[in-house]
This record gives sequence, structure tokens and C-alpha cells, in this order.
Amino acid sequence: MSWRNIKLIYAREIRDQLRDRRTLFMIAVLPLLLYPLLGMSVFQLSQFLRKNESQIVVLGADQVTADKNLPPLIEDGKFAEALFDDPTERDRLKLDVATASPTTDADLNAARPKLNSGDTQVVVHFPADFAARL
Amino acid sequence: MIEARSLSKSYSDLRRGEVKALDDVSFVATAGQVYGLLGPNGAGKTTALRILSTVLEPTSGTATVGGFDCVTQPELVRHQIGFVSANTAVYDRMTACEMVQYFGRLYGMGEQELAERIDLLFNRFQMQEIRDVLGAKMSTGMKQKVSIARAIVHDPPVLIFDEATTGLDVLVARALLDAVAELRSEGKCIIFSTHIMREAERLCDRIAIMHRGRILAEGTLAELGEQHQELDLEELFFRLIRAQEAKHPAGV
Repeated sequence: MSWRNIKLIYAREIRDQLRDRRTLFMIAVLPLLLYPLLGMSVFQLSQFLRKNESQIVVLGADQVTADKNLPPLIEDGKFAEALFDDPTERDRLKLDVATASPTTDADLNAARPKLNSGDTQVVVHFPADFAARL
Repeated sequence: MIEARSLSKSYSDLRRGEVKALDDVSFVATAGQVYGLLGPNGAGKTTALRILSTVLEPTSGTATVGGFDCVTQPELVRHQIGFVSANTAVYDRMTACEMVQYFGRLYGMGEQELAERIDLLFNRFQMQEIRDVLGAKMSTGMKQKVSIARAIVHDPPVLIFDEATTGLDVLVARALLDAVAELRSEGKCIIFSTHIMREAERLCDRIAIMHRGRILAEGTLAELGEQHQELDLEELFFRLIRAQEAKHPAGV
């Protein structure tokens, strides 16, 4: 078999495949449709299953800790372990506990841009009269 | 032009053991002659033709085509022959012209020579109207015309037709037989394998009646009738087959 004939046979096979609409659809059109669809589905699924860390700002935490009859809310800079069924959930919640007491509207306003920008997911605000009202 | 000498082909079969597909077959076919191989299915006709077309190698014996040995000079032999069979398929996604062109190029023909030859063949077989028709859209008759054009595009001196009329309707079969007769008149040496007596009677200059890998009788139609005192080819055929089966029952 000469190289000339090998080239002839190769060219014929390629032309044959290019003229086969079903093969063309399977090798060119279907992947164009299917792969983005599959990619999006996998991305959505992974987002759904992914466990992100959340940044939480706690304002006025002293209102809860002041009352000794209440269970502890914060221990070692994190929410108290007793509040979680799964202890690993606790590590995913990063707290930013405001030390200023009592909290003011200015503190709350300062936290709002962080919430809007997505740097902070949750702001927990205990008003200044929270303990008294309890 | 074609000479087969003591051709034998055996293969081993798990169930039947050693099977002789061809057993000491000898014949000579010359230019301008249609040599018929007549026999039932399994007679060894196709095996003999495959050896002549270099697809199979004989277990023993020799075969030459146009003076070239089928075993030692297969490429030269292939340039000497054109092969048409009942199950020669045409490519579905090639037009008639492209297919004949493709085979011409495989035979190493130059573009100018090929274009002239294609024009000649397409005019001769009245194929101009199917020149740009895809194989998938051709009728059986059109496909058979393309098969013949493909087989003779390189103008080989030897043509092999292996049960080429099987499955064709009467009109298409008739057209094919006419084409074979025309090719004979051009001086081609033609081997025509068939199991249809009428075709052999009408077309073949010499006939070899084959059964179970052997040639039972060989000669012109007149010679066969004279040798066996039977002028009807079909009767002669059955008589020879029955006599052979009585002598060597199946499997013995």
C-alpha cells in the first residue's frame, strides 16, 4: 500500500464523515449544546452542595452575656458549641463581635455596607435595652 | 490470460475438521472468452475467484493472471483484474462519478486519463444522468452499473463476475449480461461465476461445472453435451451432481 493510496483512502473517509449529517450532529452540534448544559448543571450542583464560611457581625453581644440565666451565646470568639448539632458547622461561622457597648445606630450603619458588599452575610443586632426587656 | 493449475484450498473447521473448499482445480481462460464457473452454493466458485483476485492464497497449486503469479506478484495481478460481485457495495455518500474517480486514482491513473475514461464509461453505460447522484439514492440497477464502471475504470484485460446477477431484477440482470457480452467482444477475458443455467448457456464460451470444490466437467456447451450425451445443460448439471453425491456422500 503506497502513501498516495493511504492519503486517498483517508481523504475519502473524512469526506464520508463530513457528508454524514448524523455523524456531524453527534461530533459537532451535540457537544456544543450538551457540554455547556452539563457544565452549568455541575456548577449549579456544586454551588448547592458547597458549604461556605459565613461572616457574621454580632452587635450588642453583651446584652446576652450579661444575664447569667441565659445559656452562653459566644464562647472563644465563636457561637457556643451547645447551639449546634454538628460541631463543624460552628467553625464555618466566623464572628465579628463588636466590643463597643452599648451599640449605637452608627455601629449598625457601619455594618450595613459590609452586608451590601457581601463581605458579611449576617448582622445580628441586640438592641441596647434587650437584656432589660427580657 | 488466466491459468489455474491444481488449485486447492483447505481450512480447518472446529466442527467439520479439515475442509477442502477447492480440490485440484485446473482451468485456462483466454482473451475474448467468457469462462463460466457453474455450481451450487458452496461449490468453491467464490474461493477460486478469491484466489485469482489475490484475496486468498491457495493451499497448493498455482494461478496466473496475465502471466503474473497470484501469490508472488499480487499487486501486478490486481492491476490486471476488475472484480464485480453481487455484494459489491457502493458508498452511500459518494456520487457515481466520485466513486469511479476514487477507484481510478487508487489504481494510479493520471487525472487527464481518468477524466477521459470516466466520460467514456458514463456514456457507454448511459450513466451521465446519475453522474452526481449519491450512492444512497441509487436504484439497484444504477448501483450495479457503477460497480461495473468502477471495476473496469483502469481498463483491465481480465474481469471477474462473481454471481453478479444475484438479487437483480430481470431487466438489470439482462443489462449486466449485455455488458459482459460487450466486454467480451472487446477482447476481455471474463470469468463468470453463476448458478443460473440460463446465464451460463447464453453467455459462456466454456463452462466448468463445479461441486464440492471439484470441477466435474469442463468444455464448451457443445462439448459437454457430446461428452455426456445430454444437450440440456440443466439436466446435465443435475446428473453430474447426483452422480458425484452418490460417489461421495456429504461429509464422506
